[in-house]
Amino acid sequence: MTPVIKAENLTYIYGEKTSFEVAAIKNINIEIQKGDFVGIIGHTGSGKSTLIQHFNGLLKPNSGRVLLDGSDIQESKESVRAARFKAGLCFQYPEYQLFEDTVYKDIAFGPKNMGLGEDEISARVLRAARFVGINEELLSKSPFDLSGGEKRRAAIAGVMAMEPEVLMLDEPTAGLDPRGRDMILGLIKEYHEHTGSTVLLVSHSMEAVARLASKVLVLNNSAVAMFGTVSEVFSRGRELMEMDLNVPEITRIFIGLRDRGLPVAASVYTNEQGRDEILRVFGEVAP
Amino acid sequence: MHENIIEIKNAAFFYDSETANAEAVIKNISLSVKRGSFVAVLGHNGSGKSTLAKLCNAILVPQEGKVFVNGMDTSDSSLTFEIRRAVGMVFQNPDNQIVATVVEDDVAFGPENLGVEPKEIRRRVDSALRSVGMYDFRGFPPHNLSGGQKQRVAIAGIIAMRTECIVLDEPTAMLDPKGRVEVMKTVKSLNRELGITVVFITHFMDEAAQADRIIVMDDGGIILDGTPKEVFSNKDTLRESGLDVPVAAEFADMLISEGIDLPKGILTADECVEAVADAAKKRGLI
Repeated sequence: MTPVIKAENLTYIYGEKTSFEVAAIKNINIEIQKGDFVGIIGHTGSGKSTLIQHFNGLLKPNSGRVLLDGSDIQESKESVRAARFKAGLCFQYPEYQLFEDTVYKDIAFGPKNMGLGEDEISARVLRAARFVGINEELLSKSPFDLSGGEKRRAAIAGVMAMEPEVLMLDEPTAGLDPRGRDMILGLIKEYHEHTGSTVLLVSHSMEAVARLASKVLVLNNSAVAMFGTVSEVFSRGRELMEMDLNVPEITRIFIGLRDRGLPVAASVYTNEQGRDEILRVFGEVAP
Repeated sequence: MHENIIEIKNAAFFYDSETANAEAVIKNISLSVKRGSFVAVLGHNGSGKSTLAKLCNAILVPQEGKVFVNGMDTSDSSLTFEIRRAVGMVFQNPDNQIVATVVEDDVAFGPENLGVEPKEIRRRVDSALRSVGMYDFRGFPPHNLSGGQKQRVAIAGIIAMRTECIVLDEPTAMLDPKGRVEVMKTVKSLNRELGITVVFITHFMDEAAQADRIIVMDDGGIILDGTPKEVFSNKDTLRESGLDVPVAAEFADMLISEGIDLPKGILTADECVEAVADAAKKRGLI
C-alpha cells in the first residue's frame, strides 16, 4: 500500500547562507500509512512544526521530498495547491486566525478556496460546525463574540470543513482548561474514527498522545529519534527521559518500579494497563 | 505587620453590574492569605479565578464586601498605589506584558515608575534578574527569549518593586514543559528564599500539588480549601468540577479498589512507586 505521506531525506534550513543558518529538520525519512493516528512529540525547536508544514507544501525542503499519496508535492504549482486541501493544517492558537465577519464565513473560507459550489460549501460548514458543537445560531455571529473554547472549535471546524485526507493539528489544546482540552481531544478522536482519515497531532502532552495515537514520532535535535507504535515508543521511556522529554505519569511509575526490581513490563502507558500488570505480577505469588 | 497579607471579606463581584440580570462572578467569598504562604488556585475556565486574582491588587474592586491588602482597603483609591506595590501580578501571555526592548530595561520599568533612585534601581534590577536566573540575559532583546524566560523576566519586573506578594494568573498555560518547570522552580525559590507570598492560578495539578495550600473555585465560590493531600482526596468533587486528578492518585485508587494494600493520600509518581514497592516487598516479590 502506498503510504499517504512519505518523507525522503527531508532537510530544511532556516536563514540559509546567513549567519543565522540553522537546520530545522535534518534528513528525515518516514512513512505514514493511511488511517494512522500519529502523535508527534519533541522539545520546542526540535522541528515538529517545520516538519508538518512540509506535508501540505507550506514549506519547500532544501533537499529531499515529500510524497503525498505517492506523488511529489513540490512537482508543480498545481500539486502544491492540491496538497493544501489534501493535508489540512490547524496551527497553534488557531483562534488568532479567525478573521471573517461571521463564524459561517470563517468556516467556509477553506471550502470556498477549494472552488466548491455554494450548496456543497453550506453542507460542509453545517456538518463541521455540528461536529465541533458550534450551534447553528452562532454561525451568523462575529467570531469575536464567541468564548475562547468556541473560537478554538470554530477554527478547527474551518480545517475539518475542507475534509482533508490528512488532518494535522499543532498543539490544539494549548492553554485550555482540562474540560476544554478533553472536549477537543474527544472531537479529534471522533473525527479520526468517523472519517478514517489520517491524523497527525503535535503535542507536549504525553497523556494525550498515549490516549489517542496509534503511533508516536519523536523528534530530537531536528532528526527522528524514534518512530513506532505507542507501546514501542513508551517502552523506551528511559531514553525519552534522557532526552529530557516527559513520559506519561503512569509510564514513569512503572520505570520506577522496574528500578526497584519489580518484574513489570516496560510498555505501560495507560492506568488500565498498569492495574492489569500489577495484578498479574502480584497474582503470581500463591496466597 | 499584618499576618494575612490579603484578606477578602464576603466579597461579591459582577461584571456589567448596571444591567438587570447581572450574575455574580464572585459570590460572597471570604479568604485570607497568610504572609509567606504559597497558595494555588484551581478551577475550570469561567469559575472566577482570574476575577479573584484581580481583586487582590485593586485592578477590580468588589461591589459587595471588602478586600484588604496589608490592612489597606482596596476600595480606597488613594491607597491603590501602595496596594500595587505590595501585590504584583503576572499574566498568562508572555508576549503581552513586556514593554521594553532590552531585558534589564523591562525589569527597571516598575521601580522607575515608583521613583526609585537610579543607583538603587540598578541594584534591584541586578538582584531581581539573579533571583529568577536571568542575569546573563540582561542585555538581550526580549523577543529572543523563550516563553519561560519571558515569564521569568516578567516576574523579575515584579520583585524589583520589592513586592511582598505575587499573584500569577496561569503563568504556565502557554509554555512548553521545559518553560513550565523553569517558572515553577523560580516561583518556589522566591517563596522559600525571599519569603514572597505567592498566589498561583493554574490548570495543572502537578503544579498545584507543590503549593502549601490549594483553593478550588467553581461558579464564583470556593468549593475546596486545604493542603494538596486534603484537596486531592476529594476526587469526585474535582472531577465534577471539570478538573483533573493526579494520575498517581487515580492509579493508587484503582489498585486499592482491587484489594492491594496501599496507604491513602498518594499524590506523586514517587510516592506511588514507594507504596507499590512496599506492598511488593511484603509479598516477597522484591
